[in-house]
Amino acid sequence: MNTPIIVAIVEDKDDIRQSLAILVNGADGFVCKQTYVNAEDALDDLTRYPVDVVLMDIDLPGMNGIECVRLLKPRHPDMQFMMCTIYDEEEKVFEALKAGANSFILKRSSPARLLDAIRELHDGGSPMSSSIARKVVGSFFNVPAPAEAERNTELDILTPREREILGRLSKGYSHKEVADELFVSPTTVRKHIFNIYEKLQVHTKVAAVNKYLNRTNL
Amino acid sequence: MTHHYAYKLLLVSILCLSGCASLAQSSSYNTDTAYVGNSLRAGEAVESSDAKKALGYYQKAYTVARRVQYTKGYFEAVRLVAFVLNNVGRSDEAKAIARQALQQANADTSKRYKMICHAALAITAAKQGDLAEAIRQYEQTAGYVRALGRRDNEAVIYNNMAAIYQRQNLLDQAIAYNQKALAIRRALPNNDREIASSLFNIGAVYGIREDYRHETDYTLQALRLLKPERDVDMLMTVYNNLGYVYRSTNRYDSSFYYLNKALVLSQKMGMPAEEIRILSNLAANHLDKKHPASARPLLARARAIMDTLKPGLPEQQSWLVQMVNMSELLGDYRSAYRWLDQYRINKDSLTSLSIREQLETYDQTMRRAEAREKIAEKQTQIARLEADQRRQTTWLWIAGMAVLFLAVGGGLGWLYYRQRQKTAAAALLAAQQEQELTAIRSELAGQQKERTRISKEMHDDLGASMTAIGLLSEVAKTRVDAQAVPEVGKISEISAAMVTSMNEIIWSLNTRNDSLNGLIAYIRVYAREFIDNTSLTLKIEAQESPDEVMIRGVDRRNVFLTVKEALNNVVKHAQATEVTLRMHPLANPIQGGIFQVDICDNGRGFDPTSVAHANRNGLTNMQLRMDESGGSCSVESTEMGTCVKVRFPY
Repeated sequence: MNTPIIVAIVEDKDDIRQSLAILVNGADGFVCKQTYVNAEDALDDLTRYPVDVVLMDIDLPGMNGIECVRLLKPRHPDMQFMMCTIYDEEEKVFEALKAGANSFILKRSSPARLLDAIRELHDGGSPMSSSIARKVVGSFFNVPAPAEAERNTELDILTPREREILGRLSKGYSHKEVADELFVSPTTVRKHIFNIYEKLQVHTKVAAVNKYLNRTNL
Repeated sequence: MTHHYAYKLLLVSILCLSGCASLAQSSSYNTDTAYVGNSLRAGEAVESSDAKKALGYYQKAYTVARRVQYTKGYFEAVRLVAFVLNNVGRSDEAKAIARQALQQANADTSKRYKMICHAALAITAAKQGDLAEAIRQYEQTAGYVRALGRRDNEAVIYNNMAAIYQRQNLLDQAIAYNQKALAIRRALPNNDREIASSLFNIGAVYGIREDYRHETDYTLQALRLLKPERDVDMLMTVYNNLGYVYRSTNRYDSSFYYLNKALVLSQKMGMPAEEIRILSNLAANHLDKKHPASARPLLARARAIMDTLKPGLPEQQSWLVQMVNMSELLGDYRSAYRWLDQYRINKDSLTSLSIREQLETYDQTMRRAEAREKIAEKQTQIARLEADQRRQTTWLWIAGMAVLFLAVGGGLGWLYYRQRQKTAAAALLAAQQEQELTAIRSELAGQQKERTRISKEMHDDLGASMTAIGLLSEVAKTRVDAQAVPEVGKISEISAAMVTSMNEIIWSLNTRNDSLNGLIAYIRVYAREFIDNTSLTLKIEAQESPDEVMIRGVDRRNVFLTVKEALNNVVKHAQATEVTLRMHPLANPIQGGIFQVDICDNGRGFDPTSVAHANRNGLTNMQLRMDESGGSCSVESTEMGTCVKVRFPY
């Protein structure tokens, strides 16, 4: 038996938080001992006692989930964040992805799907919806990228394969359709998406620095 | 550790009673009552900017109302005079006036008059530091207010009583009375700001007890009710207190987060005194974490503000404490000692002198203003006499000139008047058009706002509840025998379906989704998810629009729901094995284009002209939807299959 995946839940609504905890604890291979009603508690406790995967609500009283991820991710780069939303709130999800989250899920998803998603994220795989893909495309290609010579890292450029995946997802292709067309497994597609998110986070920081130094047009 | 720079504010409201109306009896009485009413109104208009001037008006009204025995005006004047007298430090006079009025009120039947007098006595007692008396008077006031049915004022009174208990360090009572005010405010409509202020006050009392868990809870509750566009002032205070609380519980991330938000607001509102305190609080955080280098620039900035402005002693104190801490941390004990010394001097004067000082300045400015007024009165008298003389000598000359001017002016005036009429007519027309345009614009903006509001409310309340139902039924499934209780599974399904359809509504309401390519992707995702759960195979042929095309929410929704219905029909009725979804935006080179969606199956087909079929399949509904958006929906059916063709011109 492998060691179980340690999960934390940040959610202000009692019913939802408790139900999620029961569902996670009821499944083999998962443990959830840390639940928090607000971002402030989570920030404090997770800094000291990190976990594998954090299920993070976006709309929290006081500090929101996005801010919380932004502060926690640099302290524990290995800790993975899955944003939980009621609807497809792609603006907020996208902000969270830029801030350091690597996955998102609708709260109404079936328990099986939720657990699959957690395991997948733990193994370095992520999903991506068409609206998010459109935003990622916009973020990478509409903003002037740093000049070739100034790129000191390969991380802020997408590989051709990643571009192909991104383009298809933005048109509304499912992960399976993308996998079939590119002759890879859906798991591989999800690994690529995980990497795209990592690059998005780096790219966001590079873009911010460039903006700060006012060098975008060089 | 104790944070003796504690910057915590209490939100105390002012009892606000409606103004007075005049009663008519005799004609001279009538002019007197009108005078009283006018004076009171004039006073209220300037009270916040010039308390002394307001007091003058109120006192005149008070004297006249008393002389002519205009009861209603008299009590209104008592209320206002007492309030201002207290504010300018003349509580003894306020007390005398209120006492006298109470005697008269006790002879009267009006509950309102008694309430006014007790309220005035309560405020006076609180000002004079006789807190027990203030509580007694407030209790009397509350009784009358309750009898008068003014729930909002009742809440204000409890709020003020809570503040007094807090001053007496009777914290249980302070919480209880704040809770009473909160309960009343919760029952009143559109009262978020007031509710928030009660919640905040309760939190603040817990804070005095160092019960930071409760303080955080209540303050966060208050925060949720505040609107950034309406309550900037309260937000700043709330953020600052949160910053303070989190520092007290050694949670510096959260503390920095809120203090920085407070700092931004204080700068936005141009409140340098608050800015100094917040900067000092931020510096305190850095010093707690032993980072004097980070604290130094913040304190320097606070110093710069203090140099240009002369802040009050409390602000200076909050800054000095951090200077002491920083010097100590840097091992510069000489400086630390110097700052500490200054802090002590300030503290002494703060406790013993500040109140008296304040009263003295009030008194001095009053006296100076009175003297100025007397001199000004004399000067106007002299000026009037001189003017009278001059007027007499020049009168004849003026009369002669006037005749001449009248003749010339009349002629010119007539010409001017005609010209004016023409331009006025044109201007009126333009103004009307402008007004209509503005009306249309504001209506559109209002609709947009309403859309956002509805979608947000659905989002927050319904969505969260439905999600909770779904999750709880999933939990229930794991605990009972799902086979034996199939209803549990059903509940979970229904709640999931409801969240899905709400999601669709929200998608169509969100203006950020107003793009054709977004719609194409959305339909594609939906079709894939929907058909993959059936035994059918789905083929998709889709093109994107090369240009960015905007589509309104209502049209997006109509197209989407029509396609959704068509797919539903295929699954339910067609007995097909395969369905093809084609989406093509056909751009017109001149303007606009047509978005074509075909949903074709290889099923048994049906007779689209038959009315029964049309109704059963929701065809009429689909056609109506597309008509509404200026498009069309037609059906071609043979025994080889059916094609639904949806057309939407953009």
